[in-house]
Amino acid sequence: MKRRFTKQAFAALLAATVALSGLTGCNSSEKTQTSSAEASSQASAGASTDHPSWVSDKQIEVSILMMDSPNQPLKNDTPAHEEITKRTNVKLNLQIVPSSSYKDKKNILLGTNNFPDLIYLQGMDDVVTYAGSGIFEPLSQYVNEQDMPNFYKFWQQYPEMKKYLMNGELYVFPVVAREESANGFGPVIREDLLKQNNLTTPQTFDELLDVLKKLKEIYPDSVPWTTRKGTTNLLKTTAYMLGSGYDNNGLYYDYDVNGGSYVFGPASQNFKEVLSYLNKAYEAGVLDPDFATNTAEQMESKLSSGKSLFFLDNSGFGQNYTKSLRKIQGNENAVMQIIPIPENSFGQKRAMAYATELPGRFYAVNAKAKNKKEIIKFIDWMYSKEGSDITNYGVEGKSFEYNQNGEPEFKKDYVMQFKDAQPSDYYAVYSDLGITKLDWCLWACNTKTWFEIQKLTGNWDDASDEYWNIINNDKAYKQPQVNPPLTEAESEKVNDILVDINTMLEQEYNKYIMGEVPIENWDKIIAEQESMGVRELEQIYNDAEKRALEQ
Amino acid sequence: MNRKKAKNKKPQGFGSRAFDVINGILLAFVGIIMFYPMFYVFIVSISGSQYINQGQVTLFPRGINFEAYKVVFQNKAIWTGYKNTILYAAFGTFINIVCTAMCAYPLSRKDLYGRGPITVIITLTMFINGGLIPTYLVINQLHLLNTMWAIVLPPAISTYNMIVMRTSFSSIPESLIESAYLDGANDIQILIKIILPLSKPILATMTLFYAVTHWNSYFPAMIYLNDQTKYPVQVIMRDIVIQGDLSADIAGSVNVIATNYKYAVIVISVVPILMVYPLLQKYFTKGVMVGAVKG
Repeated sequence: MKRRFTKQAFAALLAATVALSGLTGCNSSEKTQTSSAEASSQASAGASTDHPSWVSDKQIEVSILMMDSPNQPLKNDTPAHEEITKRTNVKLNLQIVPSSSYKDKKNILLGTNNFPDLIYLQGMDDVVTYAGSGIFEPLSQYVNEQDMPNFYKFWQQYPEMKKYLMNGELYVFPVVAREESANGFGPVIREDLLKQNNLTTPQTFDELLDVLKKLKEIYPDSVPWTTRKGTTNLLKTTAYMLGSGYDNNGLYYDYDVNGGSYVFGPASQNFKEVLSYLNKAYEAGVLDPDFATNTAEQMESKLSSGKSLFFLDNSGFGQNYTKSLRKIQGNENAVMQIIPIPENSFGQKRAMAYATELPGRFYAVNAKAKNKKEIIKFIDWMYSKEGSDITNYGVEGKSFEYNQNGEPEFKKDYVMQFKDAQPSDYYAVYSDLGITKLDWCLWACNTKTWFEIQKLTGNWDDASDEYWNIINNDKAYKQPQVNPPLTEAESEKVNDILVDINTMLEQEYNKYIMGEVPIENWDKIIAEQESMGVRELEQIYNDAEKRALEQ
Repeated sequence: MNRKKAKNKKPQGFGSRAFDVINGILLAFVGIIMFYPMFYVFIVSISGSQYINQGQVTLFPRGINFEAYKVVFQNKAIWTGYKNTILYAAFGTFINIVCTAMCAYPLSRKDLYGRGPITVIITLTMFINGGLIPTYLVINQLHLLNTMWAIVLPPAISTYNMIVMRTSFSSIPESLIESAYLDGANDIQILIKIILPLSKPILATMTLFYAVTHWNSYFPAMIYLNDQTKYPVQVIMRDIVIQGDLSADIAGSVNVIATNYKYAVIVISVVPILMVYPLLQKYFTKGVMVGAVKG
């Protein structure tokens, strides 16, 4: 009994000494490093030949609040995350929040100043609210050639990033898109029916109306043009193409007014053109009589059953409808295809793409975070080619290889295991590896990797090819403007004005579209908006824009 | 049962019978209105997606298949969510019943010192609460964040349920308690051996109330938990059902979650708690009558 005890005690003692000596060893090496800061740069350079991208000799953990996506469920410790740890010595700890709850959770965490090292923000609103409170780390001090060489390149490449400054200070790192194909709102029509009836692809909006009228004659049971989510969404999707605009509760950026300025769509003369066009479509029986009440499901059901033949919305939906249509008997050749943006009555061809260069995803750093220096270094690495390749393609040798030009390419045998995955092959690859825009990724692919994966799995078809060709060759699409930051007083004022005006306007639109009131009366509505402060609203935005660019 | 027999014996005039018929039709109509949404969710969940997209599924399922369920059951998050929900509901309900009974019993006794003021203070919490952010800070300071305790402890007593239970306790004749005292029982023994056995119906009712609340609750879990593996099934279900609508707005996102998938998730997460109702129903009716029969 006694002998066993001493044996155990001895063993424990031995273990303790070993551990202790290990600790002191570590300690002393750390000490020498910190004591001779300059000299240690040489030492760490020696160590970094093995690990050129390590941000710290000791492994650090970085926690990030992330928004989940049902299309691409996020996970911890995916192959890409492990590769990040290998390269940078940073262990990621994603706190994954379901997307439907993200806003509530984020607000509570920000309100109680209790969020992880990094937090994902969907827009600049939180920066406006919390910039003054000091919970976010001010970042301008790091944005220079020395501290963040990779991010600094993007900072110079995209001058509009200056609009992310709040009172001259940067609080967020924006996600930058990598070779993203633009799509947006566009007209999508049943191409097979056009061919079948010898109709030509419309070049102007008037021709479009004629074509739809003819389709209505040929297929009297159909409701050619259907919509979703009510009148404001109809205006949002159509107004810019028709020569006015409606975005952001009515306010939009017009590249063609005074060399580019903010305009409140419904208060401009051009808006009458929008309303009268919709009115013509309504009276011809072309526009769905239920346009004011249709839901997204109703639109989907009308378009995929062949009851409706045209829509003007997110043109990417067309490919889904084509698939559904072809399942109906006698409809095997059905195609819903986008057409190039037609010319409007002002002789312009214009459309707004979804934000592709700067997709409006941001990450803020907690001012209380430990290891801030290392985190900044890590974030900069995320903007590098090495970091971007890993966070968009996964692990070299496992999921991708470099080709002769040094560009990453997915490996076919890896990608093929996801050929029939739900909801789609590329989302399954993204989710498995933990990559691209929706995961932790700062220079992020979305469509680039999507196309490459689908071409490998064979799920890419001619219709998708044609779709992206038409969109990419259509010069009508413009990138949306990054909105300038408003001060708190300004955004309060803006909200007050917008609520009043939109409450009034939402009762008016339908009357004009349905022809109950002649279009000339809209002048009165414009005057009423002016009395409610619409010009002041435009002024606030244009001043803020000027201010942001002068920084 | 008894009532039915009694009714059959009654002589029925035309007016009475007409009333019964119209009443039956009306109630059946109301019943269908209540039942149809649930039925619809079920038939969509087993229909083929092309029929759903074309809006052809209305009264009967079309293109019956169980693909959606297959996909749902492959989703590991739903299984862990299920496990968590059952754990939270069972454990939470246990805490609820114990705490509520222990609070209700003293308040039901007329000889409790300061009974009035205490009742008022407790009732106040029905109208005034700390608000979301202060509550969050308290949970945080107690180090309950990201643990099961954050889900099961804060709602330990529902004031309303406690008052119902107290009322039910006070309807037990005081002479029973007095005689127990004479036999040498203390208060705890009286509660466990006399009061609770006599209150089975109200306990069953409370169990059902609490269990349903736990089963349906998603908000505390969403706020207080950070770890995906701890989420209850409702958080996951809500995400799948709501997100389908949101993703349609995201640039380039053409994959909208299929409706039948969404509905299959709803069916799966609702069925277990629905099945508890019939088992506890008999206590429900008893629970209502207990007070009335006595006296």
